[in-house]
Amino acid sequence: MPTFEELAEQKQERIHAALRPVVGQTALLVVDMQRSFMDPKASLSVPTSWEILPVVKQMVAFCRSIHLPVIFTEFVASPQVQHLCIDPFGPECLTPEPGQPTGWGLPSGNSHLGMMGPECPDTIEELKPYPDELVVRSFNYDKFHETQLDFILRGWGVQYLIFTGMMADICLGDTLKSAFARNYRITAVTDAITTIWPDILIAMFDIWRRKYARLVTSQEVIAELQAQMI
Amino acid sequence: MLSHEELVARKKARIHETHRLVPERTALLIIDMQRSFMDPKASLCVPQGWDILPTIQKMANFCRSVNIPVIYTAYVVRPEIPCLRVDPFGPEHVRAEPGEPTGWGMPSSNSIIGMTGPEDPAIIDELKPQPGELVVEGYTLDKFYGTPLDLALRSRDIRYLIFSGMMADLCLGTTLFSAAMRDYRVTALRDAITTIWPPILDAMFDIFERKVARMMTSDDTIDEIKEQLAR
Repeated sequence: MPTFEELAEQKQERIHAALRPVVGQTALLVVDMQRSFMDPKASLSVPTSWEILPVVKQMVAFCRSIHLPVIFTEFVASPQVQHLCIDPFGPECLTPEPGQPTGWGLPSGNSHLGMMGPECPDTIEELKPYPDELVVRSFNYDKFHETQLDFILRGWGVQYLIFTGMMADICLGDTLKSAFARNYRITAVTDAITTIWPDILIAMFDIWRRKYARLVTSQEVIAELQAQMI
Repeated sequence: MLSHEELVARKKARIHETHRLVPERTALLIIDMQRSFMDPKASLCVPQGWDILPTIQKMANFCRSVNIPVIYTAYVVRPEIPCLRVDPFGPEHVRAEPGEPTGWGMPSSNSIIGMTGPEDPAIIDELKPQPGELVVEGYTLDKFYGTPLDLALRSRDIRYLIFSGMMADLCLGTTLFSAAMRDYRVTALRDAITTIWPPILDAMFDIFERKVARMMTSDDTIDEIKEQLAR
């Protein structure tokens, strides 16, 4: 009888073999790397995002260089769309009152469509999408829910997704689990995904490794894609 | 200016207010309390399932007594639907080979429709659905995906969901997030939700509370429903 450790290792090997991305059937997802979540003055600023930015940039540049599609997602809000992600769970996305203070926990217009400045929901300048690249905007954490993302990926024949961005426990995690429900083969890039709390990041990686995705570093995924180009 | 702690308290109070149950628009969800995940001989046995069982029994009985619908979910497998949930992520769900050993990490026919014995995906006897109670079967972790759950809730005008069952980080967590994305007001029962690893349970409760659900105990929830009905 194999031991528990041997069985666990066998399972990981099988996961890597079944999910390793295949050039021509793979897309890179960049989840919610937006000014409204990265600008130091934004009410929902995630300072840890700056640590993964160079790696996400490198992944984007590499995928473009081998003609893998790069898809960006953005969380957006609007006063016309009232739902629980805004009130009570995201008060920062409510319209600010003139003259009142703004910031974390306060109505700040965060990610409002058409907003300029630190609360602007556009993908950060440093990762600016090319004009021909797809940007999927949603009022929801889950970027598959009632968007065209699944339909577009099917049209391209994409079966493998490489995940980068944030936050691991909210938008990125929720989108990842919906990709899994739709049977996409997911590679999560460990040095290109983050959230605010290190222990929560570790928990999310643990959950994904067991039941949703293969976990690799950016160097590993670049090497395995490069190997297919030769 | 309010302090960070005051802002957190204010947000929590607001969550409580928007999520206070309206009994006639509420349902109790019992996630994946199945023989194939609870029988001590099942390949995917979650022993912690037994710790929360009495609380779920209490909640189900109370909800029935006040006409709040009780809805069950069950994770099921068919060899004809060979999704990634089965291979590579759930080798136990692969059909067992005659004469070969079974158990964790090995093909064991876990949750295959029609199985009898420890790998049977039926709801455990201790929580047996009553006639007229819905059991939603799903082939993936998210019990909203490709199932009639959303339609069943909408057609009964349900907007508030009480979540119980397991596992917090897999089927229950995924289904809870999907409920929130459909704008259901979710109350998650701290003492009626579990998973195998305590730090993972803590992490999931922390995530739920920040962004998708109101965390409550079963007793506080029962008291709230009684109060609402007395009004």
